[in-house]
Amino acid sequence: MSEHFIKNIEIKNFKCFDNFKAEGFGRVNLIGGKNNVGKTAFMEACSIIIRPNDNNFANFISLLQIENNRRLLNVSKENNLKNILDIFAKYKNISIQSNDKIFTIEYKEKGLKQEYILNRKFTVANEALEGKFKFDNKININNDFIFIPSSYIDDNLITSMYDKIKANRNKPKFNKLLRDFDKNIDEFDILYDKPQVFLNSIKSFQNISESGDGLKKYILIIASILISKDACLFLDEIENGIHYSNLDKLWEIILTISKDQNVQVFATTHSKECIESYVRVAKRLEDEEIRFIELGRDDDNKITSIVYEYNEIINQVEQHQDIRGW
Amino acid sequence: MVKIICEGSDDKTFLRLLLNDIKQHDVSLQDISNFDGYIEKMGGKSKLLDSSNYSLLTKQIGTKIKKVLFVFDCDFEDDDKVCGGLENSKEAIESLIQDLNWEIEVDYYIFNKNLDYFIVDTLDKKDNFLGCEECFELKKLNKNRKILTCIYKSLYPKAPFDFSHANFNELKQKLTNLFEGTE
Repeated sequence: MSEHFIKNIEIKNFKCFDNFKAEGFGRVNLIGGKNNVGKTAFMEACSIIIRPNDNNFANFISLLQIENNRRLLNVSKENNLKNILDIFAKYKNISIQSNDKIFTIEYKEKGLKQEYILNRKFTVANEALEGKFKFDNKININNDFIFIPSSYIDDNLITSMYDKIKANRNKPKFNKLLRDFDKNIDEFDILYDKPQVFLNSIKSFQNISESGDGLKKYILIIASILISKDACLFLDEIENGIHYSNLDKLWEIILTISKDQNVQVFATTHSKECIESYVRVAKRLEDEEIRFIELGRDDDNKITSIVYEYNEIINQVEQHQDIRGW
Repeated sequence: MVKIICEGSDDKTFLRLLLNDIKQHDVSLQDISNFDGYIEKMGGKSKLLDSSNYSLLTKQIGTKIKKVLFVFDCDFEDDDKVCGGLENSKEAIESLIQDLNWEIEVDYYIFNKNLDYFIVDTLDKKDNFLGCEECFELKKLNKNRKILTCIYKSLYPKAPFDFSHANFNELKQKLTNLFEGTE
């Protein structure tokens, strides 16, 4: 397993996690669990800790981005400082640890003065915050990870990714993967600043907004994995909008390319068909680096997890055991 | 969640049928549409009694799984001096439960001889089937009475077992207890 892959995680005071630990993650990790058990929050915590603990405050910016993705921030220039203070206050006892990295915010009061200590190193007083963090309401692409949300799909994100695909000279491969998904699609391009697909049936380009969400989601997933290298990819509700008959193709692409590009993948699902497809394809490819992470709550309502290894997940699926949470 | 641990596919099929029968009279099982997810097969008695095969279940115990019932055959002492026969099987399963040290409710049910013997004993026309067994010297071919149960299932596909027979009561009670008070 690559050094940069997340192998374990400990999450304290972050969203629904009071005190959570899990270990034994693989290169590709599918996460299952009932509603509101923290599947997305688990990936968000991973996306924070995968970034470097440096003095550019990358982890904290990921936290801001998460709040923004969930529409919990009012993003504007005037609100920048207020947003930042709100996040410090909201997560003042957060602690996320993984491998040898740690992200923490500690809160201290010294008389009337309030201080936040970031990553046990950087003391940040209120007055020093202005201008320190800058972010906008676009889903960002950085070198460490890409997070594809469950439903909100921004054209800007597709456009940015397509630029990277072209820069990497991966356009033919990208178009081939799209044709494999839907024979009616001949190619993808950005025309008049809009993502479009050329459809064989009408022999012309059509804005992808006129297609279903499934196509947009598929384009995003394929694009994101093609442009990732030595990074991490988070796919929330991966099966959303995608027909079950395309799931095997999708998993084959994810498993194959993530191996070639050295990318760690975390994805969430509610779908039994999606889990079965994941296991079927991994077994066919003999990809033993897959894991399944099942989340549930114990008798005290605390979130816990079971991490299934390759043989264990195959056994559970082949025995028709329900592993979608408890 | 609860889990029934059995030997193989025949046991799983039988337990599924029995649970569906119990469901018709027990309101607490009404919400369960498919019992497959509650029954796990280990691939034979020797694997069922070997504690090294329980690493995954041990991960699930306490958090996901709250009660377990082992169901298996005692088989014949002549074939296995250590685990064959009722007394040896009881000793083996109790030793396994002790080794596993799961801090949840664990129970077991052992079929006297095996599932096929158990089923033949409950058949309405048992004597006819035993006569058939003797006449064709079936025990020389298979001492487990599987041939007899296969003949029965072929002859009466729509009414395979009489679950109202008293011999089923103990197992039915254990299954009812297993599902009682759990999701």
